[in-house]
Amino acid sequence: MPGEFYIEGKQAKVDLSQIIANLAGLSAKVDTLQTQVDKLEGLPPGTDSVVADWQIAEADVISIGAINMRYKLHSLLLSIHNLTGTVITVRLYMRVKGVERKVYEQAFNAAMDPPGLWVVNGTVGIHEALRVTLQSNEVADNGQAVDYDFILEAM
Amino acid sequence: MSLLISPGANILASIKAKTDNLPADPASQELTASADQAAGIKGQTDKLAGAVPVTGSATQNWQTAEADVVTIGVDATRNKLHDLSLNISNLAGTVVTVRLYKKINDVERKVYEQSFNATSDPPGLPIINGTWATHDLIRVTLQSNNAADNGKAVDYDCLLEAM
Repeated sequence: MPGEFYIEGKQAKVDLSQIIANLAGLSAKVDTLQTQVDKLEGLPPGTDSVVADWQIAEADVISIGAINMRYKLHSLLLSIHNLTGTVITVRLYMRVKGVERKVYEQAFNAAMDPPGLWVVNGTVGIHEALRVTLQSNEVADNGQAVDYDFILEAM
Repeated sequence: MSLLISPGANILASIKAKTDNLPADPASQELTASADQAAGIKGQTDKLAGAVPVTGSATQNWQTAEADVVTIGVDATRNKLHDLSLNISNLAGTVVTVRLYKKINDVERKVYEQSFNATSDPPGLPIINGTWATHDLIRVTLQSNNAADNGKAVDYDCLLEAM
């Protein structure tokens, strides 16, 4: 008919709202998927140094992770190149059933062992803060810097 | 939304009035955004397949001095190192020392040292037999106590996964 559009099958109205709603739902799921997948990239590495009086008493080097946060700890290295103690004790503490416990202790000899200590050389999952301490038997180690380097991946 | 146009009306004006009120193609926008995200996800999940295995050999005068076997990883790039094996089948030293060096707080430090006996230990040395993440270079060196090992080839094989 002149002056009118003829639309096949009288489909004058195409309702896209259902498709759009489904796409929005899909988009929300993709957002969730991307958030999770992006975690595989890992967090920016933590690397720095800390100074303490290592001989006077066991002292904190670094605390890794956070309470109620799941992480994979892929590597933890300490450098004791500034120390001279023959008994350098590294300890790790973590909450077990809500109470912090010592979960690792190993002694190294700064005069013989490599300066870089490969304390965690695999992957360990944590959901609490992991506290790293160090102690030396040498007075000269007081006031010296200990370096650390670690890689976390959020779960 | 109807595209029916009254007879006698200005057809072009009516079409414009109708089309001006159409939504700005939200379906297409959603699809474009999802496709971009999917590409990002694919880029990340493709890494799970691991990088092409690195395998080769190094020939050095192992007894003259500690020498590099291979350097693994890339500076300021996060990788998971899943395996590092060395083959010392060509060596005869009774003290074959393997060392690993890695930066800690930006300065390279020795982080591992272990000695093997080429005459009694297995020829293949599984130096890293788990997963270790690195965001820097790992330098692998070897040294022998036997002059006959100079000029011999040491094989290496490692598997990296980009993070």
